[in-house]
Amino acid sequence: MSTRISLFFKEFENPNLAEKGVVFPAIRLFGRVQFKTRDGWTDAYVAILDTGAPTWVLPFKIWSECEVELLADYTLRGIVPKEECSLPILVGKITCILADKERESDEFDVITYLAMTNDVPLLIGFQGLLERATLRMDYQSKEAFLEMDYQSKEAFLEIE
Amino acid sequence: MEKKKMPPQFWEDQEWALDHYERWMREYPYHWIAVVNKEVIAAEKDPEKARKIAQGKTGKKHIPVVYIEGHIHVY
Repeated sequence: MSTRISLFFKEFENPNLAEKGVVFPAIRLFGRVQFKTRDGWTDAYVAILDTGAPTWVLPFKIWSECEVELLADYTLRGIVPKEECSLPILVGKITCILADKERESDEFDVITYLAMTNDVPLLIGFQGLLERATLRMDYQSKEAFLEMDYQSKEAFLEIE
Repeated sequence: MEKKKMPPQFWEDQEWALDHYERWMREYPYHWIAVVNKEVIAAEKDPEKARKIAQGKTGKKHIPVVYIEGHIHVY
């Protein structure tokens, strides 16, 4: 049994490049996600689906409302390899669902990077989702979805 | 535990917020905006604060809160 959850593309103008005469759309793929809290579920948040990110990233005020199993502290490093550009974070396991206007997935667990600031976007990375879901995206037809197969629900969540 | 089903207005407001993203980049860079009935009700650095302000002003329970970048970042 699998569930198909719609994703969506959005195009943004890059005003900083446009000022320099370089105009092309910044295209992103988004999904919608809800997290299990200590007393229920959050509302749905829009999240960037980033297949280049090994792990999800959650802003502080979102994950601090959630039921979290803390696993470690860590340092998140991005495209700039300087120490001052790194971000101290926690690593933890949370439970979430993907949703669209008509459907929602079953609950699944992901190991996420938990930021200590709200100044980060919500990123859906590879871990916990893309190993077991089928991602289909066709920008030409503006169609994208994740097909989730729950038989492999726990297969990629081994914590030593 | 029951999952929350978002009402249709929630999805419409969330989509509207994204449809006007470039405008919010200019007006509310690196803020979280809370949208109700296609109107930005609150813009804060804290998403929960934005939601609570919007809930207080509108009486709505489910309110989309969207992060607005100040630039187009590569993550």
